Amino acid sequence: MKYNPNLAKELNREVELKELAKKRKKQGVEEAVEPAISNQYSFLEGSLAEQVHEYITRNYPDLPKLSSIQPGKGSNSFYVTAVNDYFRANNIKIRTASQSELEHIIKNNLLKLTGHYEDTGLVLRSTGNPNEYLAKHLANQLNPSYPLMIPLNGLTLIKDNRSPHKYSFQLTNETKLIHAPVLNSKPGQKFNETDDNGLPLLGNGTRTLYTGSDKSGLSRLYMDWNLDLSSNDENLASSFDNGRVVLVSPEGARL
Amino acid sequence: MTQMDKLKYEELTLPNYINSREVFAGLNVSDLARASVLGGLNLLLVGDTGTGKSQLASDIYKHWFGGSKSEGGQGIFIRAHPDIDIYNEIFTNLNIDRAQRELTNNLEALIYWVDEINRAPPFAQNQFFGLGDGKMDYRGREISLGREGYNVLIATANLGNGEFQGTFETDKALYNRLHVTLDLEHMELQPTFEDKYKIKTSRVANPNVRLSEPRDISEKVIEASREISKATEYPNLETQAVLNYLESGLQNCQRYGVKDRVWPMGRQDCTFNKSGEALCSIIKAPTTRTMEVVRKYAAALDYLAKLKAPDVKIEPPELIFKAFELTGAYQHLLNPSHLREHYNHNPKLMKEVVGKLIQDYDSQRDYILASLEEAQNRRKVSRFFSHRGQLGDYDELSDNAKKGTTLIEPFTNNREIGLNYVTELIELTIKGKELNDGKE
Repeated sequence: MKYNPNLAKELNREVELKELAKKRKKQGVEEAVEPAISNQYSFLEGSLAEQVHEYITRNYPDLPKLSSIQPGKGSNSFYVTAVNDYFRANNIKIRTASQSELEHIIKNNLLKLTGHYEDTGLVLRSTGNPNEYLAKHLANQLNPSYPLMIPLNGLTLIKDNRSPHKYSFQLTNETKLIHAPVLNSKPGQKFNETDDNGLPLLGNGTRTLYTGSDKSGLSRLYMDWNLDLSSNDENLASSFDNGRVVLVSPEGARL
Repeated sequence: MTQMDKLKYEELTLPNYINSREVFAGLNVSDLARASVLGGLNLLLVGDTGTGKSQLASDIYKHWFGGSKSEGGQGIFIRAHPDIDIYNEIFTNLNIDRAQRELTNNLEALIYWVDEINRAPPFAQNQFFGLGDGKMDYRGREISLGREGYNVLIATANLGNGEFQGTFETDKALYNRLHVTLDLEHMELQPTFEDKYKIKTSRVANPNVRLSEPRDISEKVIEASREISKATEYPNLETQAVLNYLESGLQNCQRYGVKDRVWPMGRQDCTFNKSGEALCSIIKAPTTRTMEVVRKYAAALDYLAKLKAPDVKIEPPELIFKAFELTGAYQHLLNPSHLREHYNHNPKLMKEVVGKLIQDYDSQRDYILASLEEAQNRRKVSRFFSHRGQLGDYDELSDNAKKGTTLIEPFTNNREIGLNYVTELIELTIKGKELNDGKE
C-alpha cells in the first residue's frame, strides 16, 4: 500500500467538514438535501484495478493463475475473493457483485455484461471431487444442506500449504449460504427469469443453466459472456482476458 | 601508473567447468563463483565426487591467477591431509646457513586453493583460519596475505553423509570464514541438460580435472574487488532496511526477547511455536561477519550482473536475500532438528526459509520504507492507518478522524520476525540527519 504523507490531513479535513455539516443541521441551518444514492456498479478498472492487483500480488503471491490476470482483465474464484479482501483490509465499503446483483444490472441495463464472464460464487455439492480438499475445508466450517451457493463476496482467502491451490476459502461473518436445489437440476435447461438470489427460475427462455452430470464436490459459479449461468466448472483457477470483476458500493460510496 | 582496461565479462572465462543453470537476475551457477572471487570472498565448493567442484576451482586458479606461484602464477595449491602443517610446508623454508626457518614469498599469493579441506582433522583445520582471514601469525607478528588488500581462499569438500572415509567434521569457525558456499550437488545448482550434453560431446572423455591454459588477469580482479568494496559504502535506504531486517529481525524471540542461548527451543517449550513451523524457530540471526559477507556478496553479484548485462536492474531486497541464501546456508543459522527433517540439505532448507522471509518482509515493506523515507525528512512516522487503499501517519490524525480508523503499529517484536529495530533505526536516521544539517 502506498504511503501518502498528506493522507492524514486530507482525512482530518473530510471529518471536520462532516462535523461542521452535522452541527449546522442541529442548529437548523438548511442543507441541500442529497438524493438517496442507490447501489452503484462498476467494473474493476483503471487506477483502482492497479491498486487492487498490486495488493493481491503482494499479499497472495501464490494465488492460482495470478500471472494470467492483469489489472481489470481476468477473473477466477480466488482472485475475486482476494478483491473483497482488499476492500475489507482497507475498510472500504465496496465489494464484488453477487449473482442477484448481476441480474439487477442486466434488468436495468446498468453495465454491459455480455462479452465478458463474471465469477460470483462457489457451488458446494458434496465433500468429494472436484476440488475435494477445498470442499472439505468449506464443509467443515458449516452445516451444509447441499447444494449450496456461496457468494465470493462473503469469503476470505487463507494461506494453506496443504491445499493444492496453496490457499483455502474461509467463511467470514459476512458469508451468506444459499440453499440452491436448482443447481442440481438437469443440465442445459433454459431460463430468463431469476429469483431473489439471482438463481434461475427454469422454464422457457434464451439463457442456459449448466449444472454438469456429476453433482458433487466444489465448482465455480459464473455468468458467461452470453449471460448463461455456469455452475459446473471444476477449474476454479483458470482465467481469461474477458473475465471482469463487477464492483458494487452498497452505500453509494464513490467507485 | 598506466591505465588498465576495465574488466569485461568475456574475460571471466572458465575453460573447462560448464554450468549455465540460471539462478537469478541473469546470473548462472558459474557466475555465483565468479562473483565470490571478484568480491574477494572465500568460496567453499561442496558436493559429491564428480560434481565439478575441483574443476571449477582449478579453472579459476589457473585461468584467472596463472596457477601456482612456483610456476609464475599467483596461487598456492594445498591438498589437505591429516598431517598437514601449512606453516612449515607453505609459508616457511629452512635456511640451513642460518639454521632457522624463514618466510617465503608464498605469503603474497592471491589465491589459496585447498582441495578436500575436510580431509584434515579439526585441529589441523585451525591452520586454515589464517588463510580465511587473510592473515598469518609469524613470531608474534601478524602478516597480511595477498597483495593490495586482496586474497581469496577456495576450498572444496565432500560433505556427504558419512559415506566418505577419512573425512572430518568442519569447524563452525572455519565455515564462518568460508564466506560463500555452493553445494554443487543441490538440484538447483546442477548443470543443465544442455551443459551435460556439451560436456559429453564436445571433448574426449577424461575423468580427471582438466588443466586449463595458465592466464593471469589478477590485476583486473583486484581492481574489480576494489570497485565492489566501494559499492558497499553508503547503502541506499532499502538495502539498509533489508540488512537490518536480517540482522536484527532474526534475533527476535517472542518468549525470551532475544534468541541468545535459549535457541533452538523444542516446540513444547514455546507457546509461540505450537505448529513447530514458526519462522523464528527455524533460523537465527547471522553473525556480524556473515552480515558483512552478505553486503559484499550482494554488491559483487550486482557488479557481475551489470558486467554481464549493463541494463540489468536488480531490486535491493532480491540481491540481499539471495546473497543471504547463498552465504548463510552453512553458517549454523538453521535449526538442526529442522535440518535433520530435511536430510541435512542445507541449501534446500535455506531457500525455503529465505522464501518465507521474503514474504514476511514484503508484507511489511511499505511500512518500513515509508518510515525510513520520512526519517530522511526528519519526521518520525511509526504508526499508520489505511484509508482508500493508502497509508497515512496515524499520529497526524485529529481525535475525531482517529475514531473512524484503525491504528496499525507494525514495528513490534510481538511477531516471529521482530520489527522493533525499525523504531531505533528511525531515531538514528533522524539524529544523523540533524547532525549533518548542523554541520552544513
